[in-house]
Amino acid sequence: MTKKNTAGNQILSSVLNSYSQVFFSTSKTLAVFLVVISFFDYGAGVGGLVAVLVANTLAWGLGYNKYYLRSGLYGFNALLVGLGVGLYYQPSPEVYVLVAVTAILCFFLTIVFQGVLGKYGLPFLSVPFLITIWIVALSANSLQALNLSERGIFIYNELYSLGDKQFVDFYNFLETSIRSSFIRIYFHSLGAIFFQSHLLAGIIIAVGLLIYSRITFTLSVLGYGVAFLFYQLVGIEFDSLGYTFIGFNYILTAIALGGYYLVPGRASFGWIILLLPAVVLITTSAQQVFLLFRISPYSLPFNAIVLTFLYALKLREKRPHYLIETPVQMGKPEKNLYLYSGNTKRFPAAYSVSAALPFFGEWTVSQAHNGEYTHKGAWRHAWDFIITDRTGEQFCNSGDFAEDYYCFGKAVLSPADGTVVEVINNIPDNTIGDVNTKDNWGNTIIIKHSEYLYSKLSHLKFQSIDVKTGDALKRGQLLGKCGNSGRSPYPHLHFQFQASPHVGSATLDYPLGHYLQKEDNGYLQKSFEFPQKNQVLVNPSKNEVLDKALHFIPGRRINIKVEVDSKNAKWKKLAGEFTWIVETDVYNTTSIRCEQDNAVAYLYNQGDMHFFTNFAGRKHSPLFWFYISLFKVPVGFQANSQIKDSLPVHLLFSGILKYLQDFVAPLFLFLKADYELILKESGDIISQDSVKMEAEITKRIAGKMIKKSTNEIAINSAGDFDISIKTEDAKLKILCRNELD
Amino acid sequence: MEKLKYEKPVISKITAGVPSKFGLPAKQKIISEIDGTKVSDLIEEYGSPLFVFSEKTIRNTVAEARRAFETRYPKVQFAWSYKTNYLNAVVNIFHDEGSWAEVVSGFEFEKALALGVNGSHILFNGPEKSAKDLELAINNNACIHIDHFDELYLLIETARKLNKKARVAIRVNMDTGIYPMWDRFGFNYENGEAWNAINRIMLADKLELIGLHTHIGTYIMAASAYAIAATKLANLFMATHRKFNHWLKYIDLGGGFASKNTLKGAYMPGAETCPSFDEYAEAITNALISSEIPHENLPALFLETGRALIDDAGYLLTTVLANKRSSTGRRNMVIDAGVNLLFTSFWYNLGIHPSQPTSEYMEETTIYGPLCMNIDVIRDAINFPHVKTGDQLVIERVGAYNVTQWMQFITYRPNVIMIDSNGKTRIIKKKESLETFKNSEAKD
Repeated sequence: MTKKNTAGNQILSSVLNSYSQVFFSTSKTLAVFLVVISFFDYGAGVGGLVAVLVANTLAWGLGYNKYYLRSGLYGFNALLVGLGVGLYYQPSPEVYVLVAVTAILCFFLTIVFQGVLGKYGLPFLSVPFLITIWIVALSANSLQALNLSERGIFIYNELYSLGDKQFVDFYNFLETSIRSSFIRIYFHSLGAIFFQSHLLAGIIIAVGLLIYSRITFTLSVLGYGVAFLFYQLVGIEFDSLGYTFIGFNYILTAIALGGYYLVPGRASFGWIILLLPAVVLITTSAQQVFLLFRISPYSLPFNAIVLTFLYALKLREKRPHYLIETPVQMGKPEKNLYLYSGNTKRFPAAYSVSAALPFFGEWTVSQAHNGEYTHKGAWRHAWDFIITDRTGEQFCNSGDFAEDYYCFGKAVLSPADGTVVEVINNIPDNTIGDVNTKDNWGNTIIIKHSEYLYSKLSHLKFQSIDVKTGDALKRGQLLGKCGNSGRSPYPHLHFQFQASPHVGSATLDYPLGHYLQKEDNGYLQKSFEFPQKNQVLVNPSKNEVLDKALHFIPGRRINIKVEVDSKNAKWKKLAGEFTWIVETDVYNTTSIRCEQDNAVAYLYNQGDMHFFTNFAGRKHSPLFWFYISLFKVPVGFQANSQIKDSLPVHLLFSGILKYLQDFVAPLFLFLKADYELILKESGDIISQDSVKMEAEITKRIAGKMIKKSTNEIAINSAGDFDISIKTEDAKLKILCRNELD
Repeated sequence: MEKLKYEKPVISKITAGVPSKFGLPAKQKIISEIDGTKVSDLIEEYGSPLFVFSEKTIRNTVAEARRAFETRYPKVQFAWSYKTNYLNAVVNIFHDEGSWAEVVSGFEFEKALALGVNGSHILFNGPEKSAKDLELAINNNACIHIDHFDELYLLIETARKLNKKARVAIRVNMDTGIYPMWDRFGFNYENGEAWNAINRIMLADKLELIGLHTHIGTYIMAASAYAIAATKLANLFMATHRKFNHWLKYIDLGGGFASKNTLKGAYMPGAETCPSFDEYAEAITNALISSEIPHENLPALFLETGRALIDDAGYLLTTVLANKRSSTGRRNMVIDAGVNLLFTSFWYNLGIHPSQPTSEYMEETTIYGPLCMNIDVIRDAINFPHVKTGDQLVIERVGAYNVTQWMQFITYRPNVIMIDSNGKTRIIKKKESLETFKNSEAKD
């Protein structure tokens, strides 16, 4: 690839993206549809293009962010202004001067609003366009040298100039066959976003949206439909929409909130239904106000409601379980949804502290969150731990003495790095059955892990605590001994998270980091989950081979050799040699990039768990197989243990099935790709030279298995990977060798 | 009403109700069944005498020991001491419960390999390792615990010859306040011999030092001795790190935990005076955790506990052959199990119990085995109720050492059976017969 070509590509994508960005998209296909319809009105089309070029040149020349430039974020407001101005006046050189001037104005407004709203984590939407177009509209009557356009009145004339009689006939056919005013106004409203007044533009945009994203299309219909029904309900004349070009407010609001800024789901769809009547009210009221100035409110209702709602959501105090703000903007509702997959647990970034179990060996949960004895009310998010023997008993002998209890006197450890903020060490242990309600928590340690995360360990043994206030702790460090002080009728360890450093603070709903849950044969690896009553838990111990191999240090280069055994040409193409490079960007995101095909796999590793978070680029790449094989790998992985996850649907499925899934994705997923990693061999307690794992990827439709691939992964102590993949018609071998300096 | 059993009249001092310095007279314990199977049924099916092992007891004891250590320390590994009991069926239970193998001879090494133990999970101890044994160990990547310098030289030579790396540890002996101090095995800590050995090994290119081993003695009744041993090994561990920047992988505290048997000459019964697993674990793990070793670098803790894990699971069923009186009128009893089967009877006052109810009257008795040999005394003095010829007795806590140190002397060795976790019995070692000897003896 030459440099010039790259520059050309960049210009092209910055222009095209400016078009698709109107629908929050960076889809080139959608952009082509939109460019085409913008030129239905030649004056408007040229105006739009001029405005985009002016704005993007400014952004480039003045040195603004190249990423935003390339994604069209600097251009789309100018585009809308250009389209509006170009349509309003007869094409003439003066008009394009005006377009350029307004584009400059709009560009700077874009920068300003990006800065101001960005501080609150809000998008600037089409606010710059609004202000600019109002400025133009209010001064319109004073601009004597410019002639008002007469287009839009004689549609057939214009159509004829575009594509002779057949085209006119085709349009006529559309006009006559689409009778329903519901559908007609929908198309009109869509077209109006690009200042087009006829059905055809709307139809083309609708098709473009459908190709780009099923969820966006569904949302456009939903938003419009709800507004339509509300109009009927309260008795506003709906036809007026067709003339005032403001129906698109409903469509854009639905697209923005239903699937773009929020992860699409039942909740986001539900809120669209609740919010749209409000948009209708804002629209009708704004129309009354703006009528005084003889201008249109344009997209004001859309901007107002989206910004208000997003801002309000940001002020939530509790960790949201629904209406999740899109964590990583993939530029497409489907991708956002599948990546998110309704599973916050995959994103450990939400949990900055990964807490280990505060003890050695296997302990049993005797009371979990919302427990039946004392974990109630403000103190419901806590765990009690005890030790049990094979028969489930927690004591030997008669159990009349604290010493009979297996957990009594056992080491209590720091769950994570932190600082000791409170130590109570002088409350005597109770006799069995007695409780000390005066000193409810007994001997207690409170540890500060981060600004709003403290952990508290209570009922420790009388004078067993070895640390003092102010001590810096490492995870796993000995704190004291499990005891029977405070409100503790029998020895146990009380463990909770809280947001403040006080004894008696309310508990915090915060999960444990990575732990093993004992099963009949082996262990189940759990991550950021909430242990339940009677589960037997143990800390994983670090596997040195995995720790080394999964440590992707920026600059690490991996040489790849792919061997293929298949008759299928598609697979054969994969064979060859590749080079992967580990990189880190300014946001501290680590990724592995393939030098040959430019595919990128993003990853995340807190030191105890490796996650692949995302994949971009061609799926027919060795890196993609690496990505799905090592989708989630715990660093402390124990033999006979397994871990489960779900792979993002958009990366594993394609074709008609995925199209169908896209439509209903916010409501339910019938396509599923299960990921299961089983550790076969991991060395022993003293020597860890190699690890053998098996990743099973099962594709399911409505729970029924349709395809299964088993990927065998072998890792050696040098951090090299050998991955063998068996699919229905191919056997692949991916050999990854670290490049030595 | 059942007809009362006839008992010979006997004159004994009345002690009822008045506690002497030994407390109230002990009530005779009866063992009529093992894991739900009647003693009489077992003897009827498998003969007398008969060794019986309880799988349930083995597994429960291992679980208890593991729980004691694993809930106090992050990395714990038990290695089964083969010499304590290397019957395949017994060994397999320990391996099934996650134990590695601790062997002290080429024979035991081969046995462990034959049972399917991964060579790298064998700890090779003992003062006797031939060049051939060392080759076997190196080729199987075993952990070789070096006992003396001559072995170290032989090992360096052998590893060079094979051009393979040997994984080694040294056995360290030390003063832990226990008498007698075992200084015949390994390198001494106090006089610097152990540190010298570590230095030599670290400089030997074919040896990889991975651990430190000690075995402070046997039947150690003071858990605190282990704390001293652990502290001394932790010092060596840190010294090695400081000098060579090398973290050793494990510290092996060997065996020596007391079982519940009562040593001869002990004033109180072993069941009441011997430390529990918890007490040993508390001493050892506290010493390691509070040592200088940073908690991220704590080594794995290896334990070679034998006796304490198996003694309780073994029983010897025996039958009374005769009751007689000595010249002084002392009561003597002859049973069909002798010291040839019960090596531990030289150390312990073994617990011997009737399998059927008896009267409460007891008399001081000497219990002899069946051998025509003066040393064959199982108990020289035991307060025992009157039992008749043909009555069956149970000798408890005989799981350790007896079925390895027993000898074929004068008579055949009996059946050994296992009662599995479901209560089913099976022979795990067949009774000897004349055939057993025919094969290995010359035919002249």
